[in-house]
Amino acid sequence: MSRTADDPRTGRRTRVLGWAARAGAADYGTVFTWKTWLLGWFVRMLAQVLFFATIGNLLGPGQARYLLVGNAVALVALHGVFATASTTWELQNGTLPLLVASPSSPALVLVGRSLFWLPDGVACGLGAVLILGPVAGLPLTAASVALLTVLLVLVAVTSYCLGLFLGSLVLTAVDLRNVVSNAAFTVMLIVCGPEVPSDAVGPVLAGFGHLLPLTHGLLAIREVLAGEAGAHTAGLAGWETLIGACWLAAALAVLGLRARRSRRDGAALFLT
Amino acid sequence: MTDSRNGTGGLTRPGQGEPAVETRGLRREYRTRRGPAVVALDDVSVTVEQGEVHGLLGPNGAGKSTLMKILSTVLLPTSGNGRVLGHDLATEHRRIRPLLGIVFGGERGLYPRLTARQNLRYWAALYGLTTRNAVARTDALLDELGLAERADDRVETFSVGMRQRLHLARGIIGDPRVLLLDEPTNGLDPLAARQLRELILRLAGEGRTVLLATHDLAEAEALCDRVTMINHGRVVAAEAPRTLARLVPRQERVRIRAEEPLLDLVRALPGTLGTEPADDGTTVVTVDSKEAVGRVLAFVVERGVTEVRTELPGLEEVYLQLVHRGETRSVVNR
Repeated sequence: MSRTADDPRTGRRTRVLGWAARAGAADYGTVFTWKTWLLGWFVRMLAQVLFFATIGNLLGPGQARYLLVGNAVALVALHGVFATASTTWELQNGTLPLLVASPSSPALVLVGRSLFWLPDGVACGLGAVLILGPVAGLPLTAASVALLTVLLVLVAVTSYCLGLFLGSLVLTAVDLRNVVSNAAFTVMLIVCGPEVPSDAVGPVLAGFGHLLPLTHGLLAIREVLAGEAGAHTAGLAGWETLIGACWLAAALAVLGLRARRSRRDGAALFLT
Repeated sequence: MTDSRNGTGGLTRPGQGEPAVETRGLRREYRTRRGPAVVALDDVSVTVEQGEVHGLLGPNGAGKSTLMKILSTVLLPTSGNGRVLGHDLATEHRRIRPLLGIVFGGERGLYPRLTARQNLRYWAALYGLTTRNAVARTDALLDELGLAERADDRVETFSVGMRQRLHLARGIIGDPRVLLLDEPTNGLDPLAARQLRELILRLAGEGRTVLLATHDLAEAEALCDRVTMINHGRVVAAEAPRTLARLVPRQERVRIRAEEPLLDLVRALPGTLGTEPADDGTTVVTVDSKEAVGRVLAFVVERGVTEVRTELPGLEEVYLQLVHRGETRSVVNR
């Protein structure tokens, strides 16, 4: 008997997460090679940031920098929200019933299987700032780049948590996956501050923006790149972390609820 | 075992030398948005002893897969109850899951872009194996199932037969005590199906309980100690294949190798119902009683026929009688 009853839970969860991430990365590998990523996807992302920075340049002093940073960081969030669609890829493999019937939590697998978006998003966002920043006169130091990288990872993770939540909602409504992720990202563009300061959209929308990932992380990044990193920046990062944790908790709750409900009512989720 | 006064709905409690699988009065309805609920299972009681290979036979839509889903803990019954190795299906699914291995037929259920080895390592992690044990068990299974040479190839490059063997390996990676196989030879060519059946027998020989859902009667006859026939969600019969064969009408059969003039004489014997040529050149004579069997045997042996044997109806005939002709007489062995 090779099963080990004393296998520590943390180690087991880490292994499941790792293998789920590997399975997701293998799926992602069919979308891009490193060449098509670099010459296609990355260039397209740079062009998008450059487009907005150029508009900012026309708007007035400082606007190019504002829009460049905002859109570069928004790209990182966009990749996190892509998890909405890729979470449903598990359904296409026909593995969900087997995952549910296994001794491990299927939610753990869903958390791990879209992690490949995180390095992709951070690379796009960081690359955009590093390559296009000097064009907009953005002062970059080694310390600010290091802090920027940490905060971009944070934004990627928190947005990923939102993507997981949305993905758990549309897990069986495959037709809606791209609609929902695009709608969510559009809302984030409006209320989280990448294009206009969040107080410019009114108190209600601004308040809603403060419940979403990206808002606090982006403010923290703006402070870092303005050379004003300090306790306030750390506080913003803390809020960003808290909000991401809340979205992750919501995603896990929805997945658990769906699993229980599906077991009871025989919904399509686990019967494919 | 079926004493309903024990407070478990007639089921055995854990630790009583419990059956591997035991259900009593299982019913499963699916609600539809419009129209009445669809009954997929109705009053299904099945007992599978430990170490048994048990067939679940029935046409498409009979309810086999629904029963498999309930037993694999991904679906709850609407009413009734069931246990796997003494653990309640409704409330103890976390205890049951490590004890089960599940294999579905068809293409789905593997990660096509991972290699065979990676797939098994992944499922080993899901079943809680440590890295060291997972490596050892993966290597052993790849070797045992004849996949070692392709272990590091992506599953998407595998033939259907290889995928199905990998499915089986995945199903037993956690060393389950009960193996649920839902039409595992579905889509396989005859040779691959035969290899897979040999593997299933080997697994059963290791002491595992196997519950095999299939509509392949030859498969059930070859593999199963007992079969349960399901039709329209209800159990029609549950017995050993040979015992079931005795339950169909009193038709007995004599297989002989003889030429036409003699066959004409055989047809004229009292009690002979008919003859039918078989693929191997012999002729199957159907008679209505044991006396008629003796009469035919004596008649042909006297006339120098040396290739002659009696046989019971195959499972296919039982199946046709009990399922397709809608006979629902009570032949369930309780």
